[in-house]
Amino acid sequence: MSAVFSTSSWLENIFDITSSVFQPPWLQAFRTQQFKKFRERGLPTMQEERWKYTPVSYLERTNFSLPIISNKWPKNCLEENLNSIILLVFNNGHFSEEMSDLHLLPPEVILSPLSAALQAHEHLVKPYLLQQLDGQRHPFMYLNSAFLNEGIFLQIPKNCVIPYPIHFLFLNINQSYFMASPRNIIVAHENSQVKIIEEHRAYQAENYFINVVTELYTNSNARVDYYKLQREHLTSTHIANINVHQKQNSCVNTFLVDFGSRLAREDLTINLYERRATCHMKGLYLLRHDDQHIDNHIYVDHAAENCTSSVLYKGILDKKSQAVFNSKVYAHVEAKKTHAQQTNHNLLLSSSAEVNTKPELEIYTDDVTCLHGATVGQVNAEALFYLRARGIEKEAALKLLAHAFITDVIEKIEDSAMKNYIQRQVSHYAGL
Amino acid sequence: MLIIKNLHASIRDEKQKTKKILCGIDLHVKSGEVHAIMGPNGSGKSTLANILAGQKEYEVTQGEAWLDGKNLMDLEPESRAAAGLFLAFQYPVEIPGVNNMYFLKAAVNSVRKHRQLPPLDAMDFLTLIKNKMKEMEMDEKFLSRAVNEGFSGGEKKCNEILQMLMLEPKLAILDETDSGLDIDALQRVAKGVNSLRDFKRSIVVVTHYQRLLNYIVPDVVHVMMKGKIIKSGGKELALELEEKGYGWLGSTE
Ligand SMILES: Nc1ncnc2c1ncn2[C@@H]1O[C@H](COP(=O)(O)OP(=O)(O)O)[C@@H](O)[C@H]1O
Ligand SMILES: [Mg+2]
Repeated sequence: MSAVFSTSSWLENIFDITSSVFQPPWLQAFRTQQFKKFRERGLPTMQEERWKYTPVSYLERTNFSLPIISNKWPKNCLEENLNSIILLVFNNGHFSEEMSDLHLLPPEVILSPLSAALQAHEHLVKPYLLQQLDGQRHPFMYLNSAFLNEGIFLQIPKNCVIPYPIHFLFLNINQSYFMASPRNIIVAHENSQVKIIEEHRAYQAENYFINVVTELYTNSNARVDYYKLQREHLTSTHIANINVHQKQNSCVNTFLVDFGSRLAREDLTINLYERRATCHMKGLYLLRHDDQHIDNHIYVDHAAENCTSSVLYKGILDKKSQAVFNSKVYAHVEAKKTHAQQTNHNLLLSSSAEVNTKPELEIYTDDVTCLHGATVGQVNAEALFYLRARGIEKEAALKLLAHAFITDVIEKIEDSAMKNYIQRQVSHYAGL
Repeated sequence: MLIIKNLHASIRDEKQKTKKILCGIDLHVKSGEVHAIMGPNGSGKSTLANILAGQKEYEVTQGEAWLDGKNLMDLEPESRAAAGLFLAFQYPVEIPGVNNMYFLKAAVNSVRKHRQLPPLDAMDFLTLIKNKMKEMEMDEKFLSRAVNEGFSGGEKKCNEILQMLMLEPKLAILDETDSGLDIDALQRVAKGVNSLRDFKRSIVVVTHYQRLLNYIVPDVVHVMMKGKIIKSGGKELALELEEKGYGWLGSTE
C-alpha cells in the first residue's frame, strides 16, 4: 500500500519543484535524504498499532499540489483575534508580512518566518533543522522535513518574559488539493517565558492536507504555554507532530483544541530529559459531523527524576464521528519520583459515534505515582429532562450539557484573555 | 385547567419486566384551585407528577391528561413547560457545569419565546431575578453556582420555587417541596407559592404533612394509594390523615 504512495508521481513532481527553489546546499541535501527515508518507510498502515484506527492511505490516491499564496484575503479574517498580540499570519503556507504584526515584540527576541530566519540566522537555525526526527515512528515527520520550506523560528533569550501572546495563524484560503508542510521551531532559553497560540483556519479551501511539525525546546527554568486551535475545513486532513524537549525545572502547559478537519491526527510527544521538569497537557476534541475523525496520541517520556506530567483530555462526539485517544507514559529506570496522571473523558451525543480510548503506562522504576482513567458516557438523562421540563428545547439543552462537560477544562486556562478566546471559538464554531 | 382521565402507567425494569404504577387516576383541577395529594411512600405520586411533566421513562398505557385544552401526551416536556406546566421536583438534579443564572435565563427566554413574548435582556433579567431571590431570601451567590450542585436539600427546594416564580406557570405541581425544610424555609416557600396564587392559576401540592397545608390551604385533598386516588375531600381530610395515618383507608376499594 505505502509503496504506491512513496512512488506517487505527484509527490515526486512536487518534490522536484520544491528542490528547484534556492536554498542552502546542506538543506537541499537534508531534504533529499529525508525524502528518501520517507519513501523507504512509507505511510503508516492500519496494521501498525499506533495507526490501527486512523486510515491515511487515501492520501496516496490524492493529487496534492504545492500551495500558492492567495490574493483573496477573506474579509474580517483578523477581526475575531485576541487584542494585544504578536501576530504572524500565513496564507496557504506562505508568510504574509502585510497581515502580520510584530510591533509588540521585545527587540531581543528573534521571531521570523523560517525562510527569513534561514537567511538572517543560518547558523542558529541549522542545528534545529538538522535534528533527526523519529520518522520511523512518525513517517509524516520525514515528509515534513522533505518538503519544509516555511514555518516559524522563535528564539527567546535568557530571562526574557514576553508579556503578550504570540499568535501563529495559518490561514488556508481559496485553494483546494494542496499539501503544506510548515515547520515551527521554538526555543525558550533559561528562565524565559512565553505564551503561544498556533491556529489553523480555512476560508473557501477544501480537501487540502496540512502536515505540520512544531518543535519546542524549553531550557531550564523556562515556561512555555502552548495553545493550539485546529479548525481546518471539514474536508481537509490535518496531521501534526508537536515535539517538546524539556530541561531541568522547565514547565510546559499545552492546550489543544481540535474541531476541524475530516481527519486530524495530533501527536504530542513530551521529553522530560532533566529533573523537576513539569508538563501539563490539556485538550478538547469536538466532533460534530458524519465521518469526522480526530485522533490524539500523546507520549510522555519521563527520563529523569522528580518530573511531573498530567494529561486531561475531553471529547464530545456527535453523529457518526470517530475519535481516538491514546496516551502513554514511559518512565525510565532513572525516573524516580515520577508523578504522572492521565485522564480522558468522552461524551457521546449519538449512538453511532465511536471512541477508542487508551491511557497506558510503561514503568521501569518504583517510587512513582501514576494515575490513569478513561470514561465514555452519554448525556445524563435526568439532567436533560430537568432542563427540558424548564422549557429549554432539547437541542439547546443538549448543547448546555455538552458545554457543561468541557467547561471545567476551559476554566483551567490561567490567562483570561486566552480563556475567553478559546471559549468564544468553541461556542461559535463548535456550537457549544 | 388540568383534567386527568383514567390514567394508567407502568415502567419496565432492567429485566424488561413491566411494573404497573398508576392504575386509573382521575383528577380534575379547576382554575384558581389548590389540590393536595397525600398518600404513603411508593403510591405513585411522583410518578404521576413526572408523567405530567413529560418524563418518557414511563409508559402511559391508558387514559389521558389535558392542560387547558391541550393534550399533554402530544407535547414534549419543553412544550408543556411553555404551555404553563411546572413541576417542582422531589429530588432536583444537580447539573455540574451549567451555571444557575445562565440556566434560568435560558429557561425564561425559551418559555417567553413560546408564549410569543420578547426575550428579557440581561439587565431586565437580572433585576427580575434579584427581586425574586430577595422574596425567597436566597443569597445572590447561588446565581453564579452550577444548577443545584452542592446545594443543601432545603436550598434545592428553594431553587425550585425560585424557578417557578421566574417561569410563572399556570399549573404548578409541588412534589414534596416541604420535606427537608426548616420552619423558616417552609414559610418562605409557602409565601412564594401564595404570591403566585390567583384565580387563573392552579396548584397541586404533593405532601405528607399537614404543616405545609396550614400555609397553602387546599380546596381539595386527595389520598393516593397503590396508583389510585382512593379518597377525596376538603381540607379537613388532611387533618384527619395526620391524626389517623393511612391505615384506616386501606379497605376502601
Ligand atoms: N424509574 C423507576 N424505576 C423503577 N421503579 C419505579 C420508578 N419510578 C417509580 N417506581 C416505582 O413506582 C412506585 C411509585 O413510586 P413513586 O411515584 O416515586 O411514589 P411516591 O412518590 O408516591 O412515593 C414505587 O414502587 C417505585 O419504586
Ligand atoms: Mg415521591
